[in-house]
Parts: sequence; C-alpha cells; structure tokens
Amino acid sequence: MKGAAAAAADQKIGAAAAAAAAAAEHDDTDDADEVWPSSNEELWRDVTPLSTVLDEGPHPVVEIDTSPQFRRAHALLYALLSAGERSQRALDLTREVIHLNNANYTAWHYRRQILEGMEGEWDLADELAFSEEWIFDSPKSYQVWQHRRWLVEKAADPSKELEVCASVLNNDAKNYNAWSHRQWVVRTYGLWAAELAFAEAMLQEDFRNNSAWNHRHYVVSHELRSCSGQEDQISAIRSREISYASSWLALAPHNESAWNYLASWFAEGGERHTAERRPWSEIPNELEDRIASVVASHPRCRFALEVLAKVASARGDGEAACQRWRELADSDPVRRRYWEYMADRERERERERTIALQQTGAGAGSGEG
Amino acid sequence: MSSHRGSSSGRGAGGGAAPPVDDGISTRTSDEQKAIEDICVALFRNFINTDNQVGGTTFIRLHRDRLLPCLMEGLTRLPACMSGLDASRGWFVFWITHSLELLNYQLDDATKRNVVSFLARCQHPDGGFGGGPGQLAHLAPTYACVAALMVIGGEEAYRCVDRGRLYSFLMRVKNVQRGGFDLHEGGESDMRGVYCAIATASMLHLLTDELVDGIPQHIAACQRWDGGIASEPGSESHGGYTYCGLAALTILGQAQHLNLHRLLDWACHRQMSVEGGFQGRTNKLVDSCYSFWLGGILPVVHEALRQCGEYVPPSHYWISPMALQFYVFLCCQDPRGLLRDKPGKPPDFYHTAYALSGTSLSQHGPSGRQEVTGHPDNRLAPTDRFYNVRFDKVRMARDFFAAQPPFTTAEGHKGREGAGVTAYHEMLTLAESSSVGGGGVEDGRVEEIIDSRGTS
Repeated sequence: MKGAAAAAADQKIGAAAAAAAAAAEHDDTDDADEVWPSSNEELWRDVTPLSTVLDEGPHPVVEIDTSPQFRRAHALLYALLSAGERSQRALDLTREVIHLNNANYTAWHYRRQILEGMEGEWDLADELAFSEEWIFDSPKSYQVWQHRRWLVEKAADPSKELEVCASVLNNDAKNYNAWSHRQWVVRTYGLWAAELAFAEAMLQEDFRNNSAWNHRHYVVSHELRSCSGQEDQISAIRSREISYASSWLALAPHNESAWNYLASWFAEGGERHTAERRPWSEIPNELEDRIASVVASHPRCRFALEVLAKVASARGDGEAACQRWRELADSDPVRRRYWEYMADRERERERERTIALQQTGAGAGSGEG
Repeated sequence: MSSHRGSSSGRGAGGGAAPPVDDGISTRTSDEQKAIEDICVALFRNFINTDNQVGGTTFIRLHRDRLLPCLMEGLTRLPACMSGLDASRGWFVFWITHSLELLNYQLDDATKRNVVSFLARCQHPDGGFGGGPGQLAHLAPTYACVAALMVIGGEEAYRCVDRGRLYSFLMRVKNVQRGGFDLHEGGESDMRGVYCAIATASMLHLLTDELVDGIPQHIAACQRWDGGIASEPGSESHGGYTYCGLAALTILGQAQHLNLHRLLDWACHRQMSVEGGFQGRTNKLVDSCYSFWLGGILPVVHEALRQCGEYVPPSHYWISPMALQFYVFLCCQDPRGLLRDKPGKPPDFYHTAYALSGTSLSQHGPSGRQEVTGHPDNRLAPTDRFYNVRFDKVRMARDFFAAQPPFTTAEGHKGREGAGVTAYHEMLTLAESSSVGGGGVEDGRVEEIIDSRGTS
C-alpha cells in the first residue's frame, strides 16, 4: 500500500482518489494493531450476542467458516439492532462489521439509523471520507454507493461527487455504479454543464466504451427535453448526433456502440415517428452511401447490413430487405435464426402491403366503374 | 496468434468468420476482447485436437462427477474466503439446490428438512428474508429463499413462508417516489428489486393491484435507447436488469409496455460470434452468468410476443443454443469442479447456477424441441423462464397455492399469481391436452410431455 497516494497523484487520477488512497494507506498501517470494539469484553457486559450467529448447531447449511471475531462482532451487532440501540459503541461496531464484510447491508443500514439518532454528534465530512474510502476499496458494492447517496442528500452538497466518479471511472471505465451515481448527481442537482464534455473525454479514451455512449445519450436527452417541442431545434440536435455517430463509424466500422447510437435516432417498423426518431427511409443520402461502402469493404459487417435491411424495409422494398436479411443469416451464423425470423416478418409485411394495395386498387376500380 | 483472426471462417463457437475486432485502432475494449477470443479459440482447438482423440470420445461433456461433490460440500460448509458473502447465504442455498435440481440430483429428506429450517431462520420476524439469520429483510434474499423453498417443494417448505408478513414487507419497500422497490428499508432502488418483488409475490400468489400499481410504467421508463433495460432511468442497458424488467412485466401480463422488438434485437446481438456465450452489455466481455440473464430474455420475449398476439418462431428462441453450450462446456468448466465466468477466473456457485440455468433454457426450445450439445447426458432438467426454478417444481407450487384460500389484505385486496404466468400455463395445458389426446397431465410429468411433443 506504501506509496499508493503518490502513485495515484502521479497518474492524475484526481485529488479525491489520492486522498482516498492516502486514507486507505493510513488505515492499512493502523490495521494490524487496531483494537476492534468486539474484542473489548468490558464494553459488552450488558449485551447477549445473538446465539444462532455464534453457533449454528449440528446441521450446518451453507455455513461459512468465519473467524471467531467475525462471529462475535456480527452476533453483537444483530443483538444491538434488535434492541434498537443508538449509541457510539453501536456505531463503532458497524464500522467493525463493515470492515469484516462491506456487503453487509444490515450494518450499513443500521449505521445510518444510528447516525440519524445522533444528529449533531458526528461530522458529515468524516462520514463522507469514510464512504469515499469504501467506494475506492469496493467500487462494485451496492452498499457503498447507497450510503454515499444518503450522505450527499444529507449534506446537500454534491460538489465532490463528479470528481469521485471520475476517479473510479479512471480505474474502471465501465463501472456501472459509478456511472449511475454520476447520473443521479447530475439530474438531482442539475449539474449538466460539463457532462457532454465528460462523455466526450471518456470516448476519446475508448470510443468503444458503451457506458460513455449511454452517458452522451443521457445528456443529449436532457438537452432535447429543454427544447420543449421546438421541432427545428430537435431536428438540429438529431442531425448533430447522427453526424457524431457517423464520424466514429468512419474511424471504426465494427464498433457496435456507435451503430446502436445511430439507430437510436431512427424509428423502425411499427415504432412511432417523432421529431427525434425519423423513419429509416429518411436516412441522409450521404450516410446511406457511407454505410453501403462499409458493406462493400466488409460484406459481413452485421451492423451495416442490418441498417441497410431496415432502410429497404422502411422504403417498402421488401425484396431488397429480404435479400439483406438473407445475407445476414448466411454471414452471422450465431444469429441465423433471428435473421431468418426478420426475413419472415418482412415477407409477412410484404404480403400485407400487397393485400392492402389490391384492396385500394379494387376500391379505386369500383370507384371508376 | 493473430494470423487467423478475422480471416478464416469457422473460427470459434459461432462457426462464422470473426469480425475484425479493432478495425486497426485498438482501445482497451478491443484489446481485452481479442485476448478472450484467443483464449476461447485455443480451448476449442484443444478439444478438437486433443481431448477428442486422446480421450477416445467424440463427445463434449458436462462433468457432473466433478460438479456434484462441490455442490454437496457447499450446501453444508463454505470456506472462510467466502466471508464477504455472509449477507448472501440464502443465495447460496438457491444457487446450490437449484444447480443440483438441474442435474437431476435428488436431495434426501433429512437434508431437505435442514435446508428448510435454515431458510426459516433467515426469515425476518416482520416479514421477508434476510441474507442470513439476524439480518434485515432484503428483496434479493427474499426471492432467493422463496425460490429455494420452491426447489425443495412440499407443504412443509411452502408453509415456512409467512405470506401475510412477506406481503407487508413488500408494501413497506415499495418506493412510489422512485417508481420501483427499495431492496430493503433505507436501501438502494433498482430493477433487481422490481423483479425480486414481483416474482416472489407471483410465486406465492400475493400480487395485488396496490402492489403492482405504477410498476409497469416504471419498468418502461427504464428501457433505453438501444432497446435494453437499465437499473434505473438513464443508466446503461444491461443483461441482468433487462431480464429483471422484462420478466417482471411479462409475469404481470403487461409486456406491451415495452418496445419488444428493439429489446429482442439488442438481446440477440449480445451472443458473441467467436466465444458463443453472452456478454451483459454492448462491448463488454463474455460471461457465463449471462447464459441465463441474456439467454433467459429470449424465451420470455417469445411468450411476451405470443401474449401480445404476434407471430413467434414455433421451434426456437432466435439465438444459437449450440454456440452457447460450446462456451459453457468447453470454456467454463473449471478442473476443480464448478463453473466459472470465463477462462482465467475462479469458479463459483453463482456462475455455476446461472451457466447451468441458461444452458437448460437453451436446450429446451418451444414445442419441446431439444438441442443438447455433446453427450446426451449433458441434458439438464428444464427450468422455468419466469422464476428460474425447475419447471415441475413450479407446477407443484402453483397447484398448492391455487388450492389455498386466496390471500386477502385488511383492505380487501386479493392476492393472485401474475396474469402472464397464468396465461403461459393455460397455453401449455392446451398444447399438452392436444398432444396427449386430451388425456390430461400428471403432476411432475410436464417436462416429459413437452419433450415428447418435440419428437413426435
């Protein structure tokens, strides 16, 4: 752990991470000789530990071979919890249990209950630092992020959050909890200003990072909501986003995230047409040509073929669409059955179109007669 | 290493040409993807070149003999290194008993009694189940413990659940403001909570209008721009959350709230061309647990579309069962016994349960068509697409709860099973009666009948 703080600073992962790393470093050196509350017999003379946790009897079921400290700390914690105690010793014990198993949601929840009951006797900044240590220790834990949300709400201070998230994402660019926390902070406190740039920076780092594409969509959706139905503004944003996706596709035509992002601005068969989602038949010519050239150089690129199939389908050219679906079935064997199903649906639509056409024709005919 | 990449056809489980992963511009995503593809291809080749000849068998095998002892050992004791999962012990019971069931292993009565008595100790006095004795009630272990009780089966197991208190727990954690359910009182709220609450309530015939009110709209609000479903509005599409949202809505018979075709397209693209398994998110790596979370989406979409009156393929669920089973059997069996996420990762009970569950779903298509890859003994018992409990056990539990006086709240709300589940079983009953000449169905023999329909 020595030097972790310095290393973190070196890698420019942000002051928050450096501080957390420093705290963790500090904590680790303390660890060996830390006297945990459960070992203090005197402190718990009046508490009867939950016996079923200490000893599970002669017929164990999924019994984990936990340490004596683990059992005693948990047995004490659950005893205090059921008695509803709100005290400093209970708070200290939650810290011990969290140290032993940070996925123990009961301990985190109990910790919040105790803190609520001891209003004014604890420092929000200390607790924020505590939660930050745990975020960097276990960034995939649901509990640490939930505790963080609770604290940010309590402090009504989101000022450190974007930086904390950025640091976590610097180590693990697709961390689901960190992105979700960031989005929660952004929408709850209206911190939208720098988010498009953040998503852009993450995409510059790795343009295949789907989490970053999702973030861009999240931010742009907010922008669209603020247009309050102004169709020309919406249409301008939509064009901008289509160009954005296209430019990344020009660079790397097998990046599925960019294809999906592009497709999100088009309505497929059966979907409602809106200013944000226009039918595939309205695809700009230049874009269609570019996709056709992707297929020319990569005849098995399933994403490009799928777009061409949908464009043909939207134009009512069932035959051309079926041709594309068949190419997909031949070149993408894992999804062969899906592409055959798409071809079946295409033929069904074609049949319905023909019937509709005949009926219209018959109607027109009778009108003339 | 890279000489064969992207050029020749027939590389990998999918049997097709691998797409050029990086288009000549590598990023972390493409580097990691290339690495796992190479490892899987090496394992496939290894099977073709070595195992196949030296072992004297041409069959790909699921090594039950290695799995069973690990599962049985785990059902009693787990090593100290699993202390970090002490708040998930109800899950261990489900993962292990469910895996054993899929392998057609029967627990003895004494073990069943011990399991039920342990699960009873996980039940909170105020309703719901915790991750272990003494812990607060939490929706995830509540689902896991109830599902495990369905796996054990029988009146003693079913009566272990305090349904009235469980219902009041569900109402306490329903979070109208956030639209879904908090996982526990004061806990986070996400799509896992929605599924666990709805599936549990449906299994126990506890769904009421007040419990369901607003939930379909919330799930629909979490469907994302690419068709998948996220943990909460705005987050990224994810296989686990997509299964949870879709299954919950389909259990309720309300799948029309989703754009099912975009969802289906997104889900089909998650099967990996080379590795054969599923990834959980776009541009992420294959992971055997998504054999179920993604593989389970497809049969649920199939039934959802049918209930919406749309055409569905009569013989398959769109994806490639063989490619998936290549991945699970050739890349995910750890020599020590259990199944793993991917080569290079340690095996565990979670991945064992979900790799097997997904394999089971992939082996049993609609109309009973079976697609078992490798040795015929690789066939697993069919699992239920909505609850992920063995199909015959679901049927048993349905019969039991249907025969009970309906649960009624103090305000007169009546509990029931999800309308989508009821419609699904009605369809099956109809299909069975037409295939066996209207002779009816014996309890517990449904799977054989479904199987026989496929071959007749």
